[in-house]
Amino acid sequence: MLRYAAYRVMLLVPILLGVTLVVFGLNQMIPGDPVDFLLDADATPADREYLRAYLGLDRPLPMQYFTWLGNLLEGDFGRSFIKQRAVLDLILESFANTLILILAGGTLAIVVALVIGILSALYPRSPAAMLANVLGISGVSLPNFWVALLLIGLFSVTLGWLPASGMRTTGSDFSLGDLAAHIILPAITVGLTTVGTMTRIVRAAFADLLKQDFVLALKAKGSVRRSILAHVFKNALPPILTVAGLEIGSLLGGSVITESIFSWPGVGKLMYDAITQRDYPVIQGGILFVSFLFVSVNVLVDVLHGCVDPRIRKSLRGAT
Amino acid sequence: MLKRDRRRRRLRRWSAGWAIFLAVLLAACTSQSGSTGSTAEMGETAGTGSGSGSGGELIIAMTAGDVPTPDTYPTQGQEGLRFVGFQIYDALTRWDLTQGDTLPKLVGGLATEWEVSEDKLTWTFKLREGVTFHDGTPFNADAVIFNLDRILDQNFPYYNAQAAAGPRSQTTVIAGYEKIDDYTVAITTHEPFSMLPENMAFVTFASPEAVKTYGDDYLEHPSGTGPFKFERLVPGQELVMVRNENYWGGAPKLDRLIVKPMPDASSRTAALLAGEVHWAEAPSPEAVERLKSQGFNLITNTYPHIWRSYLNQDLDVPKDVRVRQALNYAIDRETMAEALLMGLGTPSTQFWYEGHEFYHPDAVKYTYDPEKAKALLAEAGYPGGFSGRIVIPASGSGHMWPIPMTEYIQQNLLAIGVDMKIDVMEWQTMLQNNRAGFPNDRDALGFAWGTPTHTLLSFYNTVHSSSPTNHGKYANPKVDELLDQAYQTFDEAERNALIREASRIATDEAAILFVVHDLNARALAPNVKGFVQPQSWFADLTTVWVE
Repeated sequence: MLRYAAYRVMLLVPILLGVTLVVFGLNQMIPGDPVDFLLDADATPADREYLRAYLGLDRPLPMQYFTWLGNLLEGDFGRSFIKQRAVLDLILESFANTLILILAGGTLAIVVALVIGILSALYPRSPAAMLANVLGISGVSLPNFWVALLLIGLFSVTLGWLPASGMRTTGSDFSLGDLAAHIILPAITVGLTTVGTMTRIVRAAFADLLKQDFVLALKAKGSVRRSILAHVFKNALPPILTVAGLEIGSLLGGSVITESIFSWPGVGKLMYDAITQRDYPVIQGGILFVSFLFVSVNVLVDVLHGCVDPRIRKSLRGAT
Repeated sequence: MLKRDRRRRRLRRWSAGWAIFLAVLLAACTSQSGSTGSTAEMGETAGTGSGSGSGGELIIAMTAGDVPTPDTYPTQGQEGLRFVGFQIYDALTRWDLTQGDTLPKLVGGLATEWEVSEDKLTWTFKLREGVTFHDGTPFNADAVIFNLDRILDQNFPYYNAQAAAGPRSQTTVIAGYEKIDDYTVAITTHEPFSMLPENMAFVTFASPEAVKTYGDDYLEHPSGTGPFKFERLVPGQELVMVRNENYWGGAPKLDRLIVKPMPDASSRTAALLAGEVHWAEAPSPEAVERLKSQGFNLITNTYPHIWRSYLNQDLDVPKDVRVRQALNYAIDRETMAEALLMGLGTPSTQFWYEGHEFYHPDAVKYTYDPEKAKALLAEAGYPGGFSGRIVIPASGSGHMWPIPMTEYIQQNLLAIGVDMKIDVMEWQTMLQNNRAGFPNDRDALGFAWGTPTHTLLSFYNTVHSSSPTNHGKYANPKVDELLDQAYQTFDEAERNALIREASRIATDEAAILFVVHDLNARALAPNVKGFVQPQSWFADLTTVWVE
């Protein structure tokens, strides 16, 4: 088991190296130039050339890449062209905010998905099953930028219950209640897709297991419903965990749009702004950071698999 | 006439559709801010005066995509300069923004007076005495030299390329500068250049002590001489400023000024309706009626802005002046301004609006005349019209609403047989392509965008044949000559006459496709008082208070 975990962690190195290449390459392929964001539209070609040289953008691409990589290894993510601050500081500051949003959205999504998914598997003709259907389809098909606007329209503008944007009331200092009020709408928005996917997975896993022989055997043995459910739950966990792990990616991806709409100062908003401003160091650092997070979570999920599923543990033991 | 009515109806239906959509979004029932019905008179005097902590807190929703960096020349373009740069910092000169009836005059800022030498190459600026930066250090000639070094001398230890980049096109004319005494500096130009005082209004001054002390972290401790002092910046969220009690121009009434980036027009409107902000920049046209009916003050004024399309004169078709004139006669600007823009724009038939000092009353006036347009096209040899492509940015400050506006133009042109395809590009991509020549590739016929600070410089760049950003490649030696002469003419009235004449020629020859001038619309909550909308992109916030 430990060897397996170590192997998975080691695999991270080539993956992340690949990510650095892709990120760097993609940046070069986006048309546009950060110097346009700093200079005004009437700037002369000489000014542009000077600024490009100053920012190191005139050097050959391989050199730019290896300098960046070398600095990364020393923990230096570079400095934002536009905001003129250390990239790592910018990312860490905003990531804390994204984490709050994703945890809230993810928890909300998983709880809703579990409750509705299990209920609908147990009572396939109940209203819960219908709700699961609706959530399953609408969750994955409704675009979250649209849902976000509807939510703002209803809860912020019409009813005036919740703030429309930001992470705290403008000009005020931090308070937990204030944060809670600000997080509800973005958390729903960001969690919606996950609710859709997860409800379907949970229901399918449970419905499938409920038909299995061991359930029949348990019933024949006279087990009470709660104990049957406990057995089923254990067996349903691996596929649910896998999907939940992958959903981190969807949550992170969804947060880009959600954060931009709700002006939530997270990594998504940071990246969105960096991309529109062609702030290369921030784009590169941000994507690398998010990728690192994503693959790490998936390694963690795979390792957790081994813990919850004895079959995997056994097969690993056999293999090594 | 019938056709026009039908188009108007279609337009109304179009805007009605948007209005309904917005109404759904923004509520069908009354919101809490709806009950305040009375529209307050702007410009009345503050009841409480500017003593201590009386003017309240003003929250502005900007169109910027992010919080501008609080440097001498902030990011986020002209929006950053307007709400952050000119609030925290001052320049040697500034525009007097306290009235809206005429174009603002250039007056003293950190300089009280200036004069140009006999050879017209050296300008002497007398500095304002007794001014201190927010960190308490004095403003003097050394501070001026330090700041000019910071943006002009690449070997200066505190040289900052980012801060230098913003005002670059205003500072290229500067050849040198020196301290004469503690409160006098001299600036020399490469050649006689009469607009230097105007250019210097874009060069603002930071405390040398703060720059030296904080180095790379200066942006977390910015210090200028402006009416508002930096308090804090919450990344991606807001920039909080407090009033500068010691402001040399008189302390502002507001206690606090908070600016928030909100690039989406419907978010800005929603935030205003929900009471989260007091002031929303550029509300969308669909929201105008609703905002007015709920008692918000919708403020507009003309200012030097132009929304136009360059016409690619590298191509044979637009090279013909009759074709360019035909296109100009085909646009129904009045209906566009009224029905599509809901009064947030005003028709543009030349480079400047009527009342502007560069407006020429005798220039050809491009009225809506499709018959004349067709006749001109036939005369030019295109009786059946032609087809082409127009490139526009998706959005951006000063660009207004490029997509619906261009769709409207497309309809107008179709009526005279010109089939124009629209190519929407992201702004940065568009800029990149511009430099390669005409946007995207050279077969595009038109290229439309808005310029929010339309000055002599941007006029020069639009029509002068030697300008690198004359995207349409319009060229007329007479226009070039007049403009070159204008820069060397130090008498204002004489200079204006030269610019007017150049503008008349370029207008008569339809150098570009004239569309509209923006009106700088902003919606203010009823409790925001004392604001005067100048004929400028910029705004004086020292007179404002919140009840």
